[in-house]
Amino acid sequence: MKTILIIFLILFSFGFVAAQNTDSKSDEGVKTELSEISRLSIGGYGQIDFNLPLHEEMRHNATLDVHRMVLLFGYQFSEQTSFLTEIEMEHVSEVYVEQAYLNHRFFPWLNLKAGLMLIPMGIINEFHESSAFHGVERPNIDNRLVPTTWREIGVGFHGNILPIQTKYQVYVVNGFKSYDGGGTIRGIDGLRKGRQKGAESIASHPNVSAKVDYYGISGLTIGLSAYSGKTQSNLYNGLADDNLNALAEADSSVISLTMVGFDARYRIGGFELRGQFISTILSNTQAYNALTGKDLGSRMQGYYMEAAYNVFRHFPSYSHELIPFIRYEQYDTHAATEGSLIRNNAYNHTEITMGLDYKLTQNAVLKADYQILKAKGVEDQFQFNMGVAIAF
Amino acid sequence: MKSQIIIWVLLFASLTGLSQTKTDDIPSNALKMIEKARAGKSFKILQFYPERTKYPDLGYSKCYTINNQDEKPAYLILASAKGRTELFDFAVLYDTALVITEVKVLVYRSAYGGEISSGRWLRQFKGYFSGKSLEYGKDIDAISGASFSGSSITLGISKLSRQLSLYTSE
Repeated sequence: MKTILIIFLILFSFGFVAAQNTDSKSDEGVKTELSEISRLSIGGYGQIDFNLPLHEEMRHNATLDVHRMVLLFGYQFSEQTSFLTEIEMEHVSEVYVEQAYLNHRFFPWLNLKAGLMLIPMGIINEFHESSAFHGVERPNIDNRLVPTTWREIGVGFHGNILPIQTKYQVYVVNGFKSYDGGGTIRGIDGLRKGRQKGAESIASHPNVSAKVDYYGISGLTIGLSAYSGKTQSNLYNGLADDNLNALAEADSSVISLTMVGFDARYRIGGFELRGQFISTILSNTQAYNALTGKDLGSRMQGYYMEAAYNVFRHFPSYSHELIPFIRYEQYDTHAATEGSLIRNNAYNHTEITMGLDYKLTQNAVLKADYQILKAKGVEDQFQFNMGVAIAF
Repeated sequence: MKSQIIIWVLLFASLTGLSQTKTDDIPSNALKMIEKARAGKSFKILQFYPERTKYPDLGYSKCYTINNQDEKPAYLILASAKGRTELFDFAVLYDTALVITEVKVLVYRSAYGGEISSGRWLRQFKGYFSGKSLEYGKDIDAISGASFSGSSITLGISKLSRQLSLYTSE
């Protein structure tokens, strides 16, 4: 708890010093009348999906789902200070606040962000609008390894250092909840069920999240992300300092984790190439699994590679885009296990997604794709998907 | 150190002496664009006000002519455009033939999409003249993580250029 306080104090004092030094000359706006009339912004994004599992000898229902419909509101209080929120309706009826943060710009290279924010890890978690990725569904790595849309409450700094064409983000955020009357995180989908999403979230250990993006080579953006900390557990709540047995039990309910990510996006001509690698090391899983009866692995790892090409680029008079794409994913949520826990091969996935995006505009897309989903020792699965994706 | 100060004072004095319009309204990084383009030659700046009903985008921007005596004027436009949620400000400098010589993002406010401020990416607009097509993703390379701001500045510059060419041909 002390460390949290100290980190917050340092963050705030740094922010205060920076505020004193703000040099108005370095940050001159144009101040047209437009700036007065467009303080409030309304936007949103959505995806409406059709999913049909295909099986030679068995019939399956298709599902039709308004998977996500998100409304975005932004308000610019002043030249430096703004607020942004995204309100999400998932599967029509589940309501979440996906982002809600205050941003204050001291300099282009130093901004303070505080509130419910996206964890910068890989590509999709931050750029999760359905028109920003190929295919109907997000890559599965960005579901099982990076639990998108991953967001927690926190505070920190970010900025754009133009001379070296580098962006950075560094935040202190709340972590996953691994124990709430029982274990929440597990082998099949890793940390996904531990997300607290800023909803009456509990805090016992602060976590740190950071990302650096370099965009200095034409068409290329590369990112390096890191996340480190301990999970949160409600077993610490109301625990006496001298109750050593209970303290030991509480310690068993906590996982230390470090996640690193490397991602690259490259565009040249009509080509777009993307790749992402994610590795998560978890420690204390043996004690955690013994306490909770879960099967959490001690390492989760995977990558994907994707290539896409805009065929209509050769027709200058045609403003639509027709983009065939293919994505190869390999990931394992049991890349390693601790103690007596045997690696479950069914958690070792190899998946191929191929399909077509038809972009009516940059942010209004019709999609169709076919997925081959393989896991070791499990019958191969096939799925056909279609969808509508928009962002505004 | 002293000589540096003197040079700066002289530079500043020469600038204030020459400009006709209040250059206080022009952000210093936009003024630097003009100085660079004029390569040491003197100039005067005059603001003009296109009618909003006729020139909807140009009319909401700040428009200046840059010239000296009988020369044909060059143009500087200071405008704002919207990314996903927040406005950003940019400057477009045209030569006497209305060809873009430089584009600069003066202030970028949002937490996302700041990549468009990169000089390397903005260099793509150099040499563009009104009448040529200007489509994001085709004529101007798309930029990862900045699709809203990237298409917005592309559309903005395209419209401003068309309206400036109409205005000057009147």
